Amino acid sequence: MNPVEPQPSYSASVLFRSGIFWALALCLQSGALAAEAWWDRIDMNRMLPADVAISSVIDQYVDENLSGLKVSPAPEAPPETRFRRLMLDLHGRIPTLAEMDEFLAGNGTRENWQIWVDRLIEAKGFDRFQANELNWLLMDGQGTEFQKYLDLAVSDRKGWDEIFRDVITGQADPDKRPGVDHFLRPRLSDPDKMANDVSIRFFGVNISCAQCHDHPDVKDWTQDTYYGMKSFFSRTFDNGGFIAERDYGLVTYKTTKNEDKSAGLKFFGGAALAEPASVEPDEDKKKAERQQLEEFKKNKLAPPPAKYSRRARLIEAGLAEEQEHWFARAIVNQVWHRFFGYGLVMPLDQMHGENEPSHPELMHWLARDLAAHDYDLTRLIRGIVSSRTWQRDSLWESGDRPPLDLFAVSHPRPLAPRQYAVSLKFATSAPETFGAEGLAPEEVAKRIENTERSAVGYERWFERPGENFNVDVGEALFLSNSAEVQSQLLDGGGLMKSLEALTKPEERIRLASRSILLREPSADELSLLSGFLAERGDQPRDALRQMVWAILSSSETRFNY
Amino acid sequence: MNHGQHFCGTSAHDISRRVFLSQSLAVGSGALLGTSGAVHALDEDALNAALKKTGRNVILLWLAGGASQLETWDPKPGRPTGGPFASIPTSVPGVHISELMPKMAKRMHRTTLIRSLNTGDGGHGTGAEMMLRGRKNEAALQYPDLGAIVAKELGRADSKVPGYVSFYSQTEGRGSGKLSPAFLGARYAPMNLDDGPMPPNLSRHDAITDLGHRDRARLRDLLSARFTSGRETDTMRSHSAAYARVHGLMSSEPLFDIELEPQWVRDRYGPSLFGQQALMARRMIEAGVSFVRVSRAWWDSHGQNFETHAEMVPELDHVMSTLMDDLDQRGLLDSTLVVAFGEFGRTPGVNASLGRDHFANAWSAAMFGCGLQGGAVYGKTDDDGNTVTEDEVGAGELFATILAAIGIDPDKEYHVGTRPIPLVNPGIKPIRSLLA
Repeated sequence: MNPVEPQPSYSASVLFRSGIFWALALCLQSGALAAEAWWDRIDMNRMLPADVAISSVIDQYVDENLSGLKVSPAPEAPPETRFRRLMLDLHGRIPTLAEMDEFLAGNGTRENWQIWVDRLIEAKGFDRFQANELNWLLMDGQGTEFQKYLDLAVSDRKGWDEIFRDVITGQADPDKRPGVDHFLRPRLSDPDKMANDVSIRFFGVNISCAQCHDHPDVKDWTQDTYYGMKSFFSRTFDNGGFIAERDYGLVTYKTTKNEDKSAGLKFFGGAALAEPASVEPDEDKKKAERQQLEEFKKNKLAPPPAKYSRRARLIEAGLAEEQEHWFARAIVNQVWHRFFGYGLVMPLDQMHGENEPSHPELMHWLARDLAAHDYDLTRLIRGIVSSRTWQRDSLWESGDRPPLDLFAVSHPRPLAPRQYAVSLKFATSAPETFGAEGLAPEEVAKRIENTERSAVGYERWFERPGENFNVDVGEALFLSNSAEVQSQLLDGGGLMKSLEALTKPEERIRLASRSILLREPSADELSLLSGFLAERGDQPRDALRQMVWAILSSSETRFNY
Repeated sequence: MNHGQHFCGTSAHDISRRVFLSQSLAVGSGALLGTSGAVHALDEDALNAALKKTGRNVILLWLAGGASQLETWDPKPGRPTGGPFASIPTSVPGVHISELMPKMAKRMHRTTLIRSLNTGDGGHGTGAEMMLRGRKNEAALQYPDLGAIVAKELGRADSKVPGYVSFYSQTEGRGSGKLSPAFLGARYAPMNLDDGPMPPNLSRHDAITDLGHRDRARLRDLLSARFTSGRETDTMRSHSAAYARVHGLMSSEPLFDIELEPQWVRDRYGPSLFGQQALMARRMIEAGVSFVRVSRAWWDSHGQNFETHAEMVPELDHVMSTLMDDLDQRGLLDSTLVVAFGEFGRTPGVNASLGRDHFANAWSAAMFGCGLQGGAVYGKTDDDGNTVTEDEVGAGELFATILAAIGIDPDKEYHVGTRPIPLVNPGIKPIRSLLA
């Protein structure tokens, strides 16, 4: 195989047909006057010191912006809401009734919140859910083998830089890095996709626009940036199931002026990167190389590594001090988006210098802090959930809801498939499963893990929320009619039995509400539900089951609010 | 299963029911499948006017794996590439098609052929992706497929039947060219009936009565409304909307029950799965489904091409011609577009295994029905079928032609964020001479 695929010439009609044209249209549309990147305009005198707690930094910058706009933020959410939110975001499930009761029994101080945050982060459930979320970030949730790597990386508390290094190197090791090659593997046949995916997922930049032309206004996006990025991967290929890399080969492309150019290594907006000169071997040498590679294939052996690895050069460039803002900012924005339902920069893949964050200093501060602390995502997460900003109420009853980028009020987020599936299962379990007197903590942890695992099968009925997410009617039909919901959640879930063991309607309503919604019913809910049960007094069991279903399928259960 | 509602099979009732259906949907009536009493009250003119307003629909016969143009629409008898089959004259003077398609030959004056597809992608996955979207996905932007666009543009927001249904029963190739509404959202995703004709979770569980089912849904809505007040988002609205559609969809259950079609109608389509699913497609179109894909796999004849086509082409011929007649007799042909193609055609050259390989440079698609010039043949290939010699058509032009035929403006734009996304790429035009 020719190591460098001949590049098609991008004539106008090819541009149209390939759909790239609209990237150009976008670029033209969004173009402002060429200006320096927003991070170059940050007033370093306004930066808070590095040793301030993350949560305080978040609150200070967000509040400062709000008071400038004369917007008073929503108050702190009720403790039940905050704790439910915390569990959903850290462990991917609602709390058990026992956990909620224990939390509420605490004194509600900031110190007490902190104790819970730390306790939850140290628990195994945190690792499981974080690894699952990272799999979505990098693999759209598809990598079963890759998940093994992430599980280990998260429980070993690897920094995000180390994960990046492992993933781009792609050398699996059954003990240290099982399945890590499965990020590169499915992308090996398409260096364009590889370059785009790495740019978007690790650096928050969608450069596909620059495939055909220099960006007219955004100085960070040029054709040679695109092909420079693609060059990091152009020598990587599959050899009998092993990831291999050549020592030679250049990416060539046609400029908008129809000139043939060959690309050098280039990292966003930076200068061309120096590398050893590569010599294109003659046909005989290539033939010998092919034969040699065939031998490795036949013997199921990994080919020897390249003497000079361009992917290793990308790791170096991506993590180099002068470049680290790209890498650190992208993951800060991703994590922020996950916890707030809206990024500091939107869209998530347009983190270039012309697209200023809603809170530039905060973004800069958080990125700097992450890089200075070994890219420890747990530290960032701990900081976010400790902030007052994150603990605000989602209710906004007076006047127009403030825009999302002010973070003045909590934005209700639809649950991810894992969160929803597992939460449905916990909501309908018998409360004593996790909270019976005298139950050893190890036993509780085991039951929690088993319950989580038993819910995985429901995930396929729910779609992963993305931008403009709509709930599919298939989900509503599943909740309404499936045998699983009927027999596993309603009849066999355990909660029904516990409810039937109670005699007073009010007690039943309270337990159902507390188990599923993790809160006491309001007075009008109590009267609504009491009326519902009373009207169906001749069929108490059916009435109870219908009530449980109605709460279980309600919007409150579906959202992290 | 609920057989309480009768799904009438005669054409007169079907037209009436269709009218009734559109009206009952418009006023939000709970009844889905009509009662004839309500219908007969309508006079002829009202009936016709209502018919004109009824939506246009599409049935895609997806020939998965890539059918050979040489053994179907563009035969080259007597040439080195021609294979063993003869060509036969059709009802359109001068137009010949393969002898394996005698029934369609008689109906060629109502059929529209494109013989000059040059789509340039001979991969199953990538070719299917492109043919179903009219273009390739970008690395960072997935496009919605044809069915999703049609469902969005032609479906009714409050429809009680699904907007988009896909049958793909064979396993070969099912994973390639996956259907996706992309940025249009789950509302326009296909209901996939891959493992059987009945959609999952459509029937009420035995453990609950119909009354109980409705009662608890109302309770659910009341509780949800309390919660969403003061914090409602678009996603929350879609959540409520999904639950609001549940009972409508459940009442469409008879739609998926082919046993409710009279035996003689089922016999017409023949016993093959493809035939029965084509009948299901007609049944759904009639009830207001905007887009149905019926897949027939697996045409991928790298070996024994002629045996494969000798078996599969007559089935296609029979099903397509029966569908045409049936739609016509029910007055649905003017509002329904039927298109038949796959991800590519097959090589004119015959390989050592007497097979034909993937070939995307000079192949054919066939269509009939709504918005098209019957009897038109567009484009030509050379004597051996190796290249297009006249009126080359790409995946985009075919896509634009389909949209234009059913009255959707191909230049219409969607927006993803601030980015305008036209339904077809700029500069791509429908083939005007094929449009009625």
